Amino acid sequence: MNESQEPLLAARIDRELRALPVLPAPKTLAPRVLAALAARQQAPWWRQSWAGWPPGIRMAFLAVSLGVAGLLVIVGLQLPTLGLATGALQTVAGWFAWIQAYVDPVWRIMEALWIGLKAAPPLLLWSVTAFIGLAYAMCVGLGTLGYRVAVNRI
Amino acid sequence: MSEEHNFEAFMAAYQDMVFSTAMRLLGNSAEAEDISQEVFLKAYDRFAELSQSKTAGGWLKTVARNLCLNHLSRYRARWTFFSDLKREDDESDREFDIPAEDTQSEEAELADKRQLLELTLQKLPPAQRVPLVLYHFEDLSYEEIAARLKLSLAKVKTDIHRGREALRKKLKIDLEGELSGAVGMLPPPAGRHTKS
Repeated sequence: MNESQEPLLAARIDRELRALPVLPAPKTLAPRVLAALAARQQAPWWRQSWAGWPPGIRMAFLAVSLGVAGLLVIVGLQLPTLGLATGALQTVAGWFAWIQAYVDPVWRIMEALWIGLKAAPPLLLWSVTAFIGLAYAMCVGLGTLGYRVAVNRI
Repeated sequence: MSEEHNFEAFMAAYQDMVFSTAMRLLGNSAEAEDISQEVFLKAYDRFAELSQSKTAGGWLKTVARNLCLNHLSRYRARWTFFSDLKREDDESDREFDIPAEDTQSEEAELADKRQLLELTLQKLPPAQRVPLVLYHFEDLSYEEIAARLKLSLAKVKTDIHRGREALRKKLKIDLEGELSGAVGMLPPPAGRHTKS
């Protein structure tokens, strides 16, 4: 088909598609929706969306949320003046001290690699980069081949 | 009449339209039914407004379309990638399970033709079917489709063109006669604002 026929084809396909009648919904759709609605209505209020909660509980939840948020803001503002910040930070840091045991060796390996990279000749670096790129391209190629074989398109 | 009965009547009025929208975008009956259910559950939450609204149909269609596109976007990286690798003649080579064309009556022939078109549309790869449906059924422009699917304009145009070509081949549409009769100027497809 040549380019001049594209608008004709577009118009013709448009006409054909618009002439299609709506597809009848499966008979199971309405019962499914009604069953889902019934199940939703029978669920306890705390498993429904916030809009479905009883008004009193919604108000209480809002009041408690605002109270907690306000309290956190006040405590946050007061913390430095109370002289608790340093101690609190030390306590929190203590909780994560175990991570240091893993970070240190990884950091040393990274440092050693960096030193090695800086000392390596540029030709070697480019060769390694090219090899990695080639390996990645092969992975994509094999993946495509696998897909085509899997769906019998080869 | 209770709210439940009103909602059932509301569903009865719109379920075919919602299901058609989902079915044509997704090309899968089970998924289309799931999405349709989700659409009506959302509609129920806003039923007080929708039952009074004249644009309820449009709202339902838009929600169905958005839910379908969200659903498809979970798999899109895969189908976009593989659609680029496929041969152009893939669609025309595929054998569809289509009804025989030996019917005598015109009505039956028309029904067969529509069934064939519907089946062919459903069998198109998502990369072609989705933009094609958005263009021809949902009245979106190429630019809007490209923005909605986060694809380049050129890719959208190519995919739509391939989809149309697949439909043309399957329906054995001959444009030569139309070309000679059209004298160059055709009105744009109805109901759309900007087209490239």
